[in-house]
Amino acid sequence: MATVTKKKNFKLKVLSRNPEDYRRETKLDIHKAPQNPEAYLHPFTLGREYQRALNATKLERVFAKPFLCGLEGHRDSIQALAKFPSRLAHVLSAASDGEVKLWDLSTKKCVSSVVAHDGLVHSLCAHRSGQFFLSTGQDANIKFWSCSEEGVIGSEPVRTILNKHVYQGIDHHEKEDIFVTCGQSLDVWAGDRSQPFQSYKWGLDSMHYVKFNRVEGLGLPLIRGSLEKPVVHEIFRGLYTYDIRNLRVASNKYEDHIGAVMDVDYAPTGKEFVTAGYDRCVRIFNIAEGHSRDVYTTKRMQRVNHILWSMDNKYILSGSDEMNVRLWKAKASEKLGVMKPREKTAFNTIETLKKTFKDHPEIKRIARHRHLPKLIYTQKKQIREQKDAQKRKESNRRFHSKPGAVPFVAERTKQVVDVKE
Amino acid sequence: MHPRSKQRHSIDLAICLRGDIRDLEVTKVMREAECWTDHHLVNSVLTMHTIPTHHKKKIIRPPFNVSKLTNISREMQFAQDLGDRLTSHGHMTGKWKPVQNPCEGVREVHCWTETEGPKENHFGDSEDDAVDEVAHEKLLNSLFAMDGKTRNKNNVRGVSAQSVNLDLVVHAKRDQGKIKPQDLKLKARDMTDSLKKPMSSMETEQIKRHIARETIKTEMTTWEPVVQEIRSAPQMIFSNRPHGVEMRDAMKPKGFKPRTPLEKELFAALGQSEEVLNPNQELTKAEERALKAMSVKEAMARRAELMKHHELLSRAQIRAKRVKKIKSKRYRKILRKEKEGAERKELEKLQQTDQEAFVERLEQLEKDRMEERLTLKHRGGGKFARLHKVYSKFDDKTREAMQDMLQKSRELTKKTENVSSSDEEDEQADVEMVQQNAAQDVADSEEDESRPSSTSIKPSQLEILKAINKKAGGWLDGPKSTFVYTDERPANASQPDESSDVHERLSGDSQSVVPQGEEKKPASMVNNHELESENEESSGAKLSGKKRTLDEVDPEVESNETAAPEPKKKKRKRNKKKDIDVDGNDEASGAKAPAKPKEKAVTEVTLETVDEREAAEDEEAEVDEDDSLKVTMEELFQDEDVVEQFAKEKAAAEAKARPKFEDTRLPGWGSWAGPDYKGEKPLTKKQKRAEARAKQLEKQQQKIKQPHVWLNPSRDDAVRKLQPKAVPFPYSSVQQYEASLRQPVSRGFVRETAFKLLNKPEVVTKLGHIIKPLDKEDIFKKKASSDDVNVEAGTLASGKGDNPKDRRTGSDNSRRKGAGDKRQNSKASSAQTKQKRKSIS
Repeated sequence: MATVTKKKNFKLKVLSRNPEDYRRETKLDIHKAPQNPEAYLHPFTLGREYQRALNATKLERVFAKPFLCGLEGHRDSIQALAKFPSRLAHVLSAASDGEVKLWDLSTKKCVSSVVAHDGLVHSLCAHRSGQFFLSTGQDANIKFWSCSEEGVIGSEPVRTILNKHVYQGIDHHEKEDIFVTCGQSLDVWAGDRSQPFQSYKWGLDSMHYVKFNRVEGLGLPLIRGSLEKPVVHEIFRGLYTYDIRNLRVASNKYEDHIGAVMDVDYAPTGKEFVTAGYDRCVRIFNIAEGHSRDVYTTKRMQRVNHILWSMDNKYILSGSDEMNVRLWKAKASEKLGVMKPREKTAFNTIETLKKTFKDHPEIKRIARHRHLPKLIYTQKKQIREQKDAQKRKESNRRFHSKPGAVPFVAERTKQVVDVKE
Repeated sequence: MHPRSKQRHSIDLAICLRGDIRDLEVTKVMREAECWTDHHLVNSVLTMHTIPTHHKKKIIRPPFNVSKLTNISREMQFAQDLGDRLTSHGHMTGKWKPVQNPCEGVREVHCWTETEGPKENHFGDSEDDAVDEVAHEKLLNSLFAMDGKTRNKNNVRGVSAQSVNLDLVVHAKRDQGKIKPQDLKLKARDMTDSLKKPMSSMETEQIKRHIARETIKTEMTTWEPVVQEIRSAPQMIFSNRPHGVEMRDAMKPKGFKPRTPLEKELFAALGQSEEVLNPNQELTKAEERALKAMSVKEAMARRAELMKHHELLSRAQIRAKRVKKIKSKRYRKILRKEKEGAERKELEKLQQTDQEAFVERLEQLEKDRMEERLTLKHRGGGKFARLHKVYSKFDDKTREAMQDMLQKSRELTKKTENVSSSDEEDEQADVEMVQQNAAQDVADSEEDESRPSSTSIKPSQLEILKAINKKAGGWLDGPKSTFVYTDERPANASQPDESSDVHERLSGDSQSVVPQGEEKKPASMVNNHELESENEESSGAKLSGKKRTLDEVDPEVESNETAAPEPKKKKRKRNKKKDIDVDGNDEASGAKAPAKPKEKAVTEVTLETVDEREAAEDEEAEVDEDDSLKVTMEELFQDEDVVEQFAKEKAAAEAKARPKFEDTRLPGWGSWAGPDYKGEKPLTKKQKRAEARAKQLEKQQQKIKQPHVWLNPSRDDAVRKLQPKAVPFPYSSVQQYEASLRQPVSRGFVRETAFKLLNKPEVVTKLGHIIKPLDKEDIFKKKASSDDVNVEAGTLASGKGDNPKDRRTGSDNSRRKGAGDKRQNSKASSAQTKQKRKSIS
C-alpha cells in the first residue's frame, strides 16, 4: 500500500479504468432471460437437440485422450499389479526379475522398490490396512512386506513362508486375517501359522488365479470367478461371465479381443470391467453389453499382462511386457479435476443427449470410430469374415436339412462341454 | 471291484452276527495268484431258510376251467348271467366285496360244474390264513406255557416270526405247481437295521462339494433382490460423504471470564451491580429483592388483575375462532358488504381531511388493480371458476357467485382515472380500431373539453398526483412525450405553430423533434400514404403495411432530427388509440406529466385534426377498397401461361426423379429356344431395384389425384440418411421410440425441475473417494428396517443424508413420479400444439 503524502499544489492523476476490464465475470453477470418451456413455442427442439448430441459426440472424440502417463523404472516385463484397498495414490507392481515397486500416482514417481523374490514374482496383494503387502514368487515363498504410510517398503520381509511348490496367485481377505493362495492346490492360510489350515484340490489341474469375494463376509475363495467374475478363455478370444449358481450357461459373452485375455478387473461401481489383452490392447466393457465400449492402445505397448481399475473409478493401470506401467483415464474424454456446478450440469445434459440419440446412424458411427493398430484392424476383419462364413454355412446346412435337424445353439452355451460335480 | 482286472465280484463284504454264523456255510478268501494287490476274493455260501408253513393243511385250489367257456352257447350264457346278476346288484362303483358274491355265483355255476373241487371262497382268503397262523402260534405258546418251558423258536435271521413280513413270496403258476427260481422275487427289505456299503472317497467328496454348492446357491440367491435393485436403479451415488445437515451436540458456551485489564476493570465495575443477570440464575438480585418486598395483598391484587386480563384474552380468542368457522355464505356476504361500506366511508372521509393519506390509498387501489391485471385472479382461470363453470348453468346460486367474481374482476381492473382500458391491444386491430373509434373519440374529447372539471379527479388532486410523479422520479413523463410524437405526423401539418412549441419544449427528453418546416406537408401526400396503408391492410399484409407507411413518412421527418431512437418510436406509434384517449382526457392524464401546459396545447390542436382527417378518409377508403380487392388470378398473371409452364416443369421434374434404368437386352438375344432353354436372362440387382423404385414412384403419383400437384419423391432422402434404420433395442415400436426422442431434455426446453430430473447422471462418484464394496450386514439390516418402515408408512425409505452409506441408489419414488408427471405434462402440451396446428391449417 502506497501512502500519499500531502503536498501543496500536488496533482494526483488517477487512472480510471473500466471495471469490466479487470473485474472477473461472476454468476451475477449472467443475464437470465425468463423462458417459456411450452412445447409449441419450441418447434425445432428435436432438431436442435440432435445437433447438440452430434456436436457433443464429435467433441467427445476430439477430447478422447485417455493416456495420462507411463510409469517407467522396471527392468523386466510386468508380472503383477496390486492396489491398496485403503489408499488411492499408491500402487504396487512387480516384474519378472523379482523386483517390486511402489508408485505414487499423484507424483507419478516410484516411491520405493525392493527385490522380493528369486525369479519372477507371480502375484501381489495388499493388506486392507495398507500396513503391509504379500507376494508370491517363483522361489515358492510367500513373503510379507511392511509398507509405511509414505509408501516406503521395508528392506527385509517381515515374514516368509517357505513352501514346497510355487503359488501362482494370492489374495487377502477383506476383513479377517485370512489369505488364500493357489497353485497346485488352493490353500487357505490363517494367522501366523506356517501351514495352510485348509487345502483344496481339483484333480491335477493347477489354478492360476484366486480372489476373495469382496462382499461376502465369510468369503469362500472362488477359483476362476465368482458371482460376477468373468472367466478368461485364452484360446477362444472370448470372455464369459458365469453365474456360479448355474455353470451350464454363461450369463454373457464378451467379444472384441483378437488374442487371449490376460487379466480382468472390475470397476468399483460394478458396471464395467477392463481387460488386458495379449493383442496389445486394453479394452473396457460394459457388463450389460457384448462388445467393448472403448479400446486403448499405444504404439509401443506390447502385450498387456495386468490391469487394474482404481478405487475411485477414475483411472486404469496397465502393466505390459515392455516394462511399463501405464496410467489411463477410465473415461477417455472425461475432464479431470474439480468442476463448477454449471459445467457439471452441462456435461450431464450432453451425456443424456448422447444417450438419447445414440442410435442415429451418424452419431453411432462417430461414437464408435476408433483408430486401431493395423494388426488388430486386419485381424478383426479376418475374424469377422470367418464368423460370417461359419454362419452362412450353418444357415445353408439348416436350409437344406430336415427342419429341426440343425438346431440353433446359443452362443452362451456353446463353450460349455460338461459340468462336473 | 478289483482295481486291476476291473472285474465285478459278487460279494465285497460278508458281515454277520455271531449267532447267525452257522448259516454261513463256506467262506473262502482267495488271493490273486501273483499277489500284486492285497485284495482278496471272498467266496461265501449262505443257507437261507424259508419259514415252514406249520403243518396246516393247505387248501389246494383247483383252477377255473376256463376252457369250458370256449363253447359259444355256454359263454353267451355266462355273459348273460353275469350281466343279470350285476345289473340286479345295482352300482359297480364300490369295492370288490359287494360285487364278489354275484360274480362268484356265476363262476360256480359255469366254471366249476365239471370239477368236484370244494366250493369255497377263494377270493381274498390270505387274511384268513394269516389269522389261522396267529391262532396256531397262540395255541402252541399256551401249550408250552402249561409245561413251564419257553418255546424254542427256530427264528431265521432277518425274518420275523410272523409271516406277514415274509421275505419271499411265491407266485407259482397254479397249473404247474412247481416253484422256479425266476418266480422267487425279493421284496424290498427294510434296510434300517443292516449296514450300508461305505462310499468311496471320491463319492464322498463329490457329495460334499454338492452340498457346498447348494449352500452357496442359497446364499447367493439372497443377493438377488439387492442386485436387481442396483441394476434397475436410475442413479447410483457412490459417496460416503452424506448430503444434508450433519448433527452435532450443541456446544455450551463457557462462562465469561475477563482476561484483558480493560475487561477485568469493566467486570469489576459491572459485576457488583445488582442488575446483572448471572448465568444459571433466573432472576437478578434486584428482582429477587423486589419480589421479597411485595406484600401478600399486593401480590394477590396483581394476580387477580393478570387473571382477568388472561380471561378476557381467551374469551376474545374463542369468539374469533367461532366467528372464523362460520360457514354461512350470507353471513360472509353481509360482513364483506359492511367492510366495503366502511372502507368507502373512510375513503370519503380521508378525501376531505387527509389528502396525502387519501392519495396513498388511491395508490394502493391502483396497485391492487395492477396486481389483478397481472394475475387475472378473478377471470375464471382459477380452481373455483373451473369447478363452478359447469354447474352455473343449472344452479342459480353458482351462477350468481360466478357473476360476482367476474364483477369483482371488472371492478378491480377498471381504471380509476379514465385512463384508456388497455395498452396491450392487438397490433393488427389497432389501426382499424383507431379509424372506427376516431369519430367517437373526437366527440368524447370535445365533450371533455367543454366540461373540463367533469372527470373524477379535481384540480387539487392533480397537484398531488404531480407530487407523486416527482417522487417516482418523473418516469411518467417519458411515455407521455412519446405519445405526443406519435400523433403528430398528420396532425401537425395543419397546426404548425402550437406543435412546434410543444416540440421545442420536448427536445430535452431526447425524443424526436419535428421541425416546423417539415410539417407543412401537402395534405394530399399524406392522404396518399394513408390510402396505401389501408389498401395493404385490407389485402392481408396488415402489419407490414402499416409499418411501411410509417417508415415512408419517417425518413422525411427524421431527416432533420437531432437524435431519434428508431425502435422506440415504432413501438410507440402503434398505440394510436391509447394516445388519443390519453390526450383526449387531458386533465386526467396531464397530471402525470410535469408540464401541464404542454399537454393542453397538444390536445387542443393536434388530435382534433387527426381525427377529423381520418374520419374523412375513412369514407374514401371504403369506396376504394372494394374495387382494389377485385383482382383475380387471371388478371394478375395475364401475360404468362402459368398452367402450361407448370405442366412442363412437372414433366421435367418427374423425368429427373425417375430412376435411370435401361433395358439393355436386345430383342432376340437371350431368348433362345430349344431343349436347353432355361428362361430369359434375369435382371441384375441394380436393375431390379431401379424397376421397383420406378413402380413405387408411379404409385405415389397415382395417389395424388390433383393434376396440378407434384410431390418431390426424393424430398426425405437427405433426412432418411440420418434416421435409424430399425427400431433400437429396448423399444418395441416406432411410436415408442419417437416418443422417447420427443421429450426434450435441454435447459430452456423444459422446466428447471424437470431438467434436473431428466439429466441426472447414472453414476455419481466423488473425486478422490474410495468406493468400498457393499457391506453385507449393513444392506441386510437396512433392508429389514426399511421393510418395517414400509409396513408403517407405506412408503419406500429412500437414501437420505441421515444414513451415511457408501452407495445409494437414487430410486426416490416421489422424484421418479415427478419426472413421470413432467413427461406427461410435456406430452399434453405437445398434444395441444398439434391441435393448434390443426386448427391453423
